[in-house]
Amino acid sequence: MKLLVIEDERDLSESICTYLGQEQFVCETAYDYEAAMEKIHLNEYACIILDIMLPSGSGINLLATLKEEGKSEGVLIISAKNSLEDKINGLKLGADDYLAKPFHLAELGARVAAIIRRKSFDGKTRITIDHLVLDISERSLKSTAGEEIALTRKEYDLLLYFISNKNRVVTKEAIVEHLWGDEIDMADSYDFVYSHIKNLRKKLTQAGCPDYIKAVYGMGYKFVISS
Amino acid sequence: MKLFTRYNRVNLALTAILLVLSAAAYYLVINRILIHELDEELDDYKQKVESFANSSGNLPEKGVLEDLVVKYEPSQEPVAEHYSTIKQYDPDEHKMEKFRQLVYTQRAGNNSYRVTIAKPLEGFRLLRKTIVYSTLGILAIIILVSLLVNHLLLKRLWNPFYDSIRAVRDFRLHGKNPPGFPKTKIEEFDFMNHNLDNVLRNARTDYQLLKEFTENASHEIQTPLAIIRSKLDLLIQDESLSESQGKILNSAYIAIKRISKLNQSLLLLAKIENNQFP
Repeated sequence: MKLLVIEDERDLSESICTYLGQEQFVCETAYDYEAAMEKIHLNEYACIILDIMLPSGSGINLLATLKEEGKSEGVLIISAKNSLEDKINGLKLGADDYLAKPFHLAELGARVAAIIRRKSFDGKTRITIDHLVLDISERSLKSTAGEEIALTRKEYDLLLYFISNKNRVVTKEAIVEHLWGDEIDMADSYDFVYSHIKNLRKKLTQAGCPDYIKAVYGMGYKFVISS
Repeated sequence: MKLFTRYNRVNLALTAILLVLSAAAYYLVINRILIHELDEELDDYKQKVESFANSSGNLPEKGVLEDLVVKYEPSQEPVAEHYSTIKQYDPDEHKMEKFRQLVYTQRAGNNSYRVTIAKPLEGFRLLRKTIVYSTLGILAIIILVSLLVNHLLLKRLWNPFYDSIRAVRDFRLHGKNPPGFPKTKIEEFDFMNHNLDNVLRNARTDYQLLKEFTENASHEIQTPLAIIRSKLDLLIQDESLSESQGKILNSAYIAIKRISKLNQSLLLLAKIENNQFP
């Protein structure tokens, strides 16, 4: 699956490509308006990550062009502008999601995965990973043996987040931001994340799955699926 | 109190005082002229009496047709000739009347008489009445006219002023419409509108610049933060990181989180200060 990263900051663009490239994604980059326009016209992408403040043109125009030509790519806007008007403006023009800088790469990964799921599965909302079968629309989880695994809402979101960032280290604070939003301030203590992860891990192992969640000491967690 | 109500009050008070003063002056002057005329009349009569007495040695008969009241009294003591205003009974009108009289001593033959010639001051009452009533009338007309002018004309004259004030009141810094002052032919109001328009436009421009600045400042800070955070996100993927290195990275994460929060708080403060919230 191909992604297009339209971002004028080369360092950031590189980081995004490296991170998402570890998955099944192939990343292409465009650093300015013209290059982005050219690539949009030449290729089809599964998802476009778009910075709206570009040299020599606005990302909003690119988005408008995409929608005018009836392209079906999912568009995720990344922007330093965090105001409500900018978000509404971007989403009104047909973007699928809006992420304000600075963001965690894991959060970006989860959102890109969500957009691609929505765009490319066309009603088939079932994801099968190793021993797990997730139904996104029903928000249910079964093991491949057919056994239902009951999860709370947070546990389900957590699992989906891990799956979207599988085999990569996700920090505790990235998890907190994803599950509880940016506004939450837990005084730098993320112990409550630990209890959620402990419960999720227990439920998965009880259903006969291997222990997917590995703690990376001092940093966070990793959802490991050995292929 | 409205400006013109106040102005009108002062104006009316002054007009009233001036009118009363001028009426008094008018009365005094006319009074003087009339009395002077009267005195001359009396003097005329005196001349006639004198010439009659000198030629015939007798005093003339009292005139019947004239409204003069003439008295002759035999008197040895000469009196100085003098004019005076007195009150006495008027047999024609059957009531007390004011008279102007001339008293002097007249010799007729060997006798000496005190002659009193008096004429009623009827015209003066009328004069006083006329002046008082006309003054009151003029005063009433002035008050009426000024009230009418105040109500009909001044309200319309001041309309542009109130329109401008309303336009300023409805003006919002973050709004999109220009203030829009109505055109007016009155120079002062036009001058005021022109200046108000300039001030409001400048204020809005400054406000827009400030707003853009706060957003741009956030952009400039957020982008490097995004780069640092993404690089750290990549760094922790490294399998060979030791535990102590992980701790160092964790501290770096927390610091970035703090800068990012601080930046957002500052932006929020700036927004609240600019009243651009939400």
